[in-house]
Amino acid sequence: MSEIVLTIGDFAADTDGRQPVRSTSKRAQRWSAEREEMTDDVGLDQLYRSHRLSMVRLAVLLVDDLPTAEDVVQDAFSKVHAAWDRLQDPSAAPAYLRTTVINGSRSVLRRRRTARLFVRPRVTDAPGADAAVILAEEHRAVLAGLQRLPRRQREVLVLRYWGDLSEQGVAEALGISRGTVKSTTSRALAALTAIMEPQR
Amino acid sequence: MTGPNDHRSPTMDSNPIEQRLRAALAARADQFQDHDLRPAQAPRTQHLRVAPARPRRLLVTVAAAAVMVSAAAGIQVLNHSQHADQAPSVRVDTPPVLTFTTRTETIADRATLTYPVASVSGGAPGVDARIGTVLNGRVEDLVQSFRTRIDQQDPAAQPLMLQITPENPGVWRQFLSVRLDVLEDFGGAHPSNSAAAVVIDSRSGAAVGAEQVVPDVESVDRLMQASIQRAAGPTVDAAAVATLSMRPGQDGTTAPLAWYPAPDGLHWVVDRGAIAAEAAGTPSTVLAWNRLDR
Repeated sequence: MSEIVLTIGDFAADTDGRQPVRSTSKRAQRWSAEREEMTDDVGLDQLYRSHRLSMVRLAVLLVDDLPTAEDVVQDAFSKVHAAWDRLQDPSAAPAYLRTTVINGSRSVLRRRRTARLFVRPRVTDAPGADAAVILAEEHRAVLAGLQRLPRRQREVLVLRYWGDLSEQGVAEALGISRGTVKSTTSRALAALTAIMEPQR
Repeated sequence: MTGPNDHRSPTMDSNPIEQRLRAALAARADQFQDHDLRPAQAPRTQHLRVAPARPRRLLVTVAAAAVMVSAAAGIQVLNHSQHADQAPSVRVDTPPVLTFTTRTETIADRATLTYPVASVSGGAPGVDARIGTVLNGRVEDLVQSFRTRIDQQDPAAQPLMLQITPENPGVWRQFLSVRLDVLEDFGGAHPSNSAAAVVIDSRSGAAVGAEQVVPDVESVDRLMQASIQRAAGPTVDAAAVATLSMRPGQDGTTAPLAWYPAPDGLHWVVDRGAIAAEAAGTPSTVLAWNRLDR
């Protein structure tokens, strides 16, 4: 159980009107809480430095444009930050972060799909005008085929073949069974092969 | 280079499509390096403090009068001048403290609901109770809406989830704002983010409408729509934006728009899926009070 305490009018302005003046009786309690929060912030900083790039890459592979991927990842770190107190095992944070990025990417894709029911889509299904254009032709063809797969198949392939997760790891990240991962991977590879076949 | 863990080799893949897929994904991912990302930093713990208002000697008399009125309620109030940054701050001995306790609830092993329960203490009893009732009532509305939709879901859907996180944007004049960030996951579909806001008159504990905060809601609505349109980017649906208003609709809410006053200005947050095809981030804007007064 966690608590967020919002004090209305707990602080009064000091003489220059900029810095809050705290009541002595609450200072010790608040400083103690702040020290714990600083510890949390250090842990999150480390997680951010070590995982931001790989999470952005994961999100790019799922949503296919960098600005959106960066937003998804930043939102994910915010959620991890909010849930930090509830993480009983800090080593679980990367997995929690990855799942949050996947969920954030799904949300983006869903909103795109919903919006396209009402708004004529821009010509953005192709990779954006970023570095994708300098990919080798073969890579572009594979990635274009990947984009045509159903969402879950695409997620499984990205996590298996870029994320290097085991079947069990993919199952945990996506909240599905290991058997489903196996069958989805098989179907996805078959579908991707079929999509690629005419181009060969 | 392969994926982030780099412990598998393309040669481990048994068929050509796996090798091609791994190579293509690695090539795409490797196009992005740290220096390609926009500058950003990890979220930090934000202490939920009310921003102190700047005192103004010329308004001491007004402030003293405000003290006399507000002391009975035991609530810090800001003055009623037109500019928040000119408001004198007054302090009373028993400021109310708003505490959110996170409650987690499971419905038939199918859905997990995490939401805040507000309790208010330290201020005038009547006002405290009203503030708590208004806040918890809004949260309960969101929870009830989620519960209703659970029954409409496929029974085989994966575990469903609702998470409501409170945030304190601060106090402006006598208005206390609480923003509620809502994350909903209906299992096999996808999670969605939205925001709601509760604005309370800290003198009376009553919820307030837009007309009590801004003098001309229609004019401010037009400013809001233009601001949202700019924030949401080129994919925004102008027709959808034109329907946004700070006045509640038939359902009694302003959804998909949430608005709240804060010390730095008037804030608007929109459910991006409602107005734009591919808006990056959550379209949210803030208009400084001095710009609004012009």
